[in-house]
Amino acid sequence: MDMQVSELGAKVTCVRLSGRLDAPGADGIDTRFTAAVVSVGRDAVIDLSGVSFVASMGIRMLIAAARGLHAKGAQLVLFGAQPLVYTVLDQAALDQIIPLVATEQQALAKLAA
Amino acid sequence: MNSERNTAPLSHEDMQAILAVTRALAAPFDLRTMLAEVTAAACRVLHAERSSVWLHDAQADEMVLEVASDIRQVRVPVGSGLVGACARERRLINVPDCYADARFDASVDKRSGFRTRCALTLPLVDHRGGFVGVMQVLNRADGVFDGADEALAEALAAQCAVALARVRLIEAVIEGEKLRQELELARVVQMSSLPQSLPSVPGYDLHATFLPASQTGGDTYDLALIEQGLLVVLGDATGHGIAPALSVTQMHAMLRMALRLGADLETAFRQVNDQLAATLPAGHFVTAFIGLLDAATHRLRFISGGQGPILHWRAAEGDCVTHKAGSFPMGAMPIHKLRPAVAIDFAPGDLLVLLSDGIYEYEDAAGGQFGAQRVEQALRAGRHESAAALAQQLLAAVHGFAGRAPQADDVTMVLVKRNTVALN
Repeated sequence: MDMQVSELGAKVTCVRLSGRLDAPGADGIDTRFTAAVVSVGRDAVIDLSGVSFVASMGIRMLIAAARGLHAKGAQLVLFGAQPLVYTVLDQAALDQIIPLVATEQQALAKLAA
Repeated sequence: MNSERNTAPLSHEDMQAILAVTRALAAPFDLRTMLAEVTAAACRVLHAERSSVWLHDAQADEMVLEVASDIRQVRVPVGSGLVGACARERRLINVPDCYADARFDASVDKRSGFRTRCALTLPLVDHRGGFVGVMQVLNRADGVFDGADEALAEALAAQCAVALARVRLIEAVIEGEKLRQELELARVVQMSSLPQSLPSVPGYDLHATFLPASQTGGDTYDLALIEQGLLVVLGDATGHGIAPALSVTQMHAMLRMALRLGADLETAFRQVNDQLAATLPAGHFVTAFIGLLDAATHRLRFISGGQGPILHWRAAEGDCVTHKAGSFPMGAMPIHKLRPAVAIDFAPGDLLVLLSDGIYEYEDAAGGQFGAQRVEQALRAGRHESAAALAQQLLAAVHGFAGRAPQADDVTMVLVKRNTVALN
């Protein structure tokens, strides 16, 4: 599991994930991911286009980040999920607490809305 | 140095002192007691004013002062000062006049108010040759440390290193045992919330399987006749260690209480969710299917918080309808707007299958997961079986897929099947 952190403008953190977001994958980046997303406390978009698989521990990591940001008055938006990943997130109704859109532009628009 | 003392055998007193240290070091089980014994013995045997033990923090590559009589929490990088030099060079350093030695770092003296004259600094090397720390003795009472002192100190350091390795091993065992006991306790609490027996519901065949994982997991289930109907629950708290077992037990207890107090499905779901959101630590939540079956009308209404897929095998159509969760995992956030409950109408032979992640994510040795497709194949193959036989077949399919790979998560299955023929 790999993650790249960048800034989109002055107000949005972008994290691009790649690899398998299963238990070992989530364990491997959980601390860094939380530090990059929640500790900063700004709106964040997560690029899932490089994620080939997601399991319950990966969902847990995303929910924990969304909850942490929500407590700081910021939002998290996911984008670019591959069909298999999208299905798993959809089955768990994750979109009810974390918006899940197709593109980076849509994710930024969601934050601006 | 005094050559006479260099060649003289150990005096009776010195021998007694070393043996006393050996005896003392055989007993202590905690690090601080053991190190206190060593430093006290070093002062006694070497007639020193002070002694200390510095342990190696391999991650930071620093030496950490663990025991000294008047100063604590000192760290020095490997290579800095006499202790650091000893750590780097892994050999004994005997300095008769510290303030004349360029390697000496006077800052510790400044902090403690002590004035170091002479110092004997030795590496602590365990029985496998690993460097674990440094022992240092300061200021021989009647002069400087000589060759005989070096031999004594080396004997003491060898004792210390062995004792240190043993204490660390014991601490690791104790820590492991504590964790094991805590997990066991959490398991007892978790198991106590499961039904002792399944209810008898005319026209229906009920089955539940619960196989706890050894180290982690947090599943629960329920099949119980209550005032509102047949309660059907499958819950799965995500996470490692003790927390999931306790989270899911909380969810289960609150749900039972809310329903006992007369709450309807929607109210119970919302109240339990919001309680969990307010009380669970960040990053903890529970995926849960909560349903109520009216066995008279054969209608099941359910709300699923993050628990999916929910499988409805339709006997007449010969297909499997998959429902996704209607709400997010319970406890993730308070509910602002709850979607309506989903209704399933059971025709004869229809089957509801609820499976925890432990089935879908059961891995083989290569890291492949059992997955939804294999689940559906197994259901199709065993659809005419009883609920118990079907569960057994599904489990056999999982084990057949996984081979000898160990079970990493709780495995829970809840099956509700409407009989094809009314039973008398």
